Amino acid sequence: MAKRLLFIVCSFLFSSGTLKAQQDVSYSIQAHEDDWQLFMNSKIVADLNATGKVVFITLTAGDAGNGDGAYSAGNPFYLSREMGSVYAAKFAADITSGATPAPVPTATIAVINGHNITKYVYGNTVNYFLRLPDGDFDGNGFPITGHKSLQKLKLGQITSLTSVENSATYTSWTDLTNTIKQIILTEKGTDNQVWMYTASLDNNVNPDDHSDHLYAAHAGQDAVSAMLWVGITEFIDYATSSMPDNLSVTDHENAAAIFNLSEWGIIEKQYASSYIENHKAWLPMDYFTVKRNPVGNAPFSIIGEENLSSNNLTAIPMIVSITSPVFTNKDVSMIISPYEKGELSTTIYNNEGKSIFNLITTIDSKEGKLINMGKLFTTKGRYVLTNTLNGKYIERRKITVE
Amino acid sequence: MKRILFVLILICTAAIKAQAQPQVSFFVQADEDDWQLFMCKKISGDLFTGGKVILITLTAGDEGYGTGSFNGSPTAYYLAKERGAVFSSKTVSDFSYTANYPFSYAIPVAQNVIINSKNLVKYDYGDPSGAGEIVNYFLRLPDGGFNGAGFPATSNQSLMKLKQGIISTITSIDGANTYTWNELTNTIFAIILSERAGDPQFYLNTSSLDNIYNPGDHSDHIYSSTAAQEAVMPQLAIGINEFVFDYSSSKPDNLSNGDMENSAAAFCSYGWSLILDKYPSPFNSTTRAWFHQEYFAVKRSPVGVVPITLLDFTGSLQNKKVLLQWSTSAEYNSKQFEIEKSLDGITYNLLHTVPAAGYSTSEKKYSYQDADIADINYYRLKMVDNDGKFKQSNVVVIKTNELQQSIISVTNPFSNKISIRFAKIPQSEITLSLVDMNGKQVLNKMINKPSTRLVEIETGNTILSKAIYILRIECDGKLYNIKLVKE
Repeated sequence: MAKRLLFIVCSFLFSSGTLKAQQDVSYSIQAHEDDWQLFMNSKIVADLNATGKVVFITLTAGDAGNGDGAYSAGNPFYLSREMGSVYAAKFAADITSGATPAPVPTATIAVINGHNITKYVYGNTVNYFLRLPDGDFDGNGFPITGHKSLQKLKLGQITSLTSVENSATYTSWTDLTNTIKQIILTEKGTDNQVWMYTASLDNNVNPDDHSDHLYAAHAGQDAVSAMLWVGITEFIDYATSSMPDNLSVTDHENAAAIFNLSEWGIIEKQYASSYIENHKAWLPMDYFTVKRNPVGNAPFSIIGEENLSSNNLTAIPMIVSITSPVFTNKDVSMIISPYEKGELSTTIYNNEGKSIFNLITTIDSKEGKLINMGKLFTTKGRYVLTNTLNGKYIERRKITVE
Repeated sequence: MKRILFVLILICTAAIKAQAQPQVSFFVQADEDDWQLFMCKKISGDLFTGGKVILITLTAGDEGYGTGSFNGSPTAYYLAKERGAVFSSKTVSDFSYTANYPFSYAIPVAQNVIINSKNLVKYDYGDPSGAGEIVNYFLRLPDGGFNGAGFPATSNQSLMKLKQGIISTITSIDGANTYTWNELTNTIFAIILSERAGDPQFYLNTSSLDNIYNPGDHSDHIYSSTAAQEAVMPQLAIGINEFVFDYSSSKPDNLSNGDMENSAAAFCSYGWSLILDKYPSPFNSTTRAWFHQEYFAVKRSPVGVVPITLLDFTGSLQNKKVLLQWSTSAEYNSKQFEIEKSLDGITYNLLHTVPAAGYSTSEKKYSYQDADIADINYYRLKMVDNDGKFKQSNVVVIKTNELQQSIISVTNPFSNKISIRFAKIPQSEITLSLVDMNGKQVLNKMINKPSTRLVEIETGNTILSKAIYILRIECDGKLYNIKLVKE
């Protein structure tokens, strides 16, 4: 309830100051490499058709108990599934962009929150693969990966989770969600309001879903709980196959083709096709509901000249939303996502480096917190805001007052 | 109906050993993406039931680019399209026939096969036993364009012009083969024979030639179908299904969700090959409109069986003898092979009879050696069934220009006539004399440059006692002495 009030307040605060995004960005957070193709396809294609950028964050390796091993022609099963997802993203980008197709992208390693993560970029699509162990339907995991799972990490039954090929270890649930948060901030570009797509956590709407689907959604939604400029759309997963068809003819065709490309990654490595009835039953429909509309604006872009955090004073920005643009004689507010309880010191310096404002705020929880600083500025110009939490987490942002 | 007929045939041939055979079906089309758009449900269904599908694509679908490329692609357009057809073949086989779960086969590589003396490109995917197997043949003939006018890059050649006699031959865009219309239809039939395995009845699937049922179709569609239907027309054991091609998008949707999805997936895999090589995605509003319908009509149900599938019939000269060899991929109710020989290519006589296997689903090899050969020898096989029906093979011609003159045979013992068979037709006059054991010449004849290899001399009124004689023959500068016995 408190959060709801906060959202309403924020929408008033920021309604006059929302900048139009240069490119809309949406994030699809899923457990498996083929989840978005089966359950979110129409939304993804619509975003791409609107020249938006879609970032896929796939948390598990979907290895089905094979770890980083293979049971076919020497190619690990999880890698074939990853390539399928990359192929599907390329196909979706190609049919929506109209641009001359480019070659299939090659993998790069992105260091996000101190973790090595495999990344592919093609057109307006980005794929991140965290390769965490497949937890199986019930979340009990598989022997080859020590019966570890997202569910067990979230519930505290295990203290860490290591990717199947040992490239990264997440030492806590927060470590994982902070990593997702960092990916979102890294990829948002200049977009001030973005959307996250995950499986629905409402058991009444999305019953009997796969454990990994649910806990991937938990991770995604936990990551943005305080980032109110990230809207959340929840999708129904397995249960859609018993629901009426609702896709247009074109969307249905797209779903068939894009899922087929996902399967191509598998069959080209001599695994059996899953393009069969039990999977195809999910193709003619997508069901989703908006759980949370985006409110307020993202913090200043962490790219370009506005980024004063290049010295990595804080790994994860505390400011998740701030009034933008700022006007003279208008209220200025920000929402922060603190790392810990304690005392936050907020100071604003003018262009000459002189402090013109200082505010001490007591932080009594790690929940997102709205801080209203009032009508701070009487003169247009460039200023610097510094937040210091408990004297050890320091973050600086440049502010332009119009 | 076809199945009932098939069962009846099996009952009638009670002696035939029961053995499961994959149902074979053939699909002949112009372009690499025709079957995905117009016949995918049928193909998937055939594979689902453990059948074997053979796709024969006649044109390169090059759209006037010949062996070239565009859009900065590193791959020739027609090759990207061929690979697309191979990709979609694997896709459809994998989702239709899942007996190999949890594995699938590797993407096949191109093979070069000689069929009907043509060097063809073949891709074979799947279980070699035939269940779920899908085979592609690409003849790479020039794209004729919608109206059959052809394109400058390929000298404006087209299937339509070949059929109509406007051009006498058509050459594949890679220059590998040149066909007359008859050679083209014979090649299609040879492919069918080589791939039918043990199936006694099967269907050819192709575009409809009925302009009311399938109006306004692409010229290459029409003439590919014409070639295929002419190829199988005499073989009543081959049924014909005619599909609506381009016009199907104007007809009501009739595919289920699952079948539409299969068609979309098959075409998507085809398009995937194109976009891998920088070609535009063909997944557009025009092609999408064909995902939702599939219409075909049975033009001819199969009747009877194709008695013997002759894979090949060849001859070679070995040690002054002709070695004839042939093999069959399948035999049903077969009785014997009658080898027929002619020296003039017109009149054939029975040379020898070889018993047939009767029933066989595996490859059988046969051979026969002919020692009595001439300069030019014509051979053909008559394949005779137990019910008296027969079929003749192609003709094998063996020329023996390198053959040295010699005496092949002489009547021995003789009574009042001596027949002498030469290896070659003598090029000069022949002197023949018969000498008794006392050295006395009892007969002398001269024959002026005979017209055949067989020379006969009558002893006539000459009274010869029963004894041993020496026949002296002077021919082409050689002297032959042969001991003969008078009966």
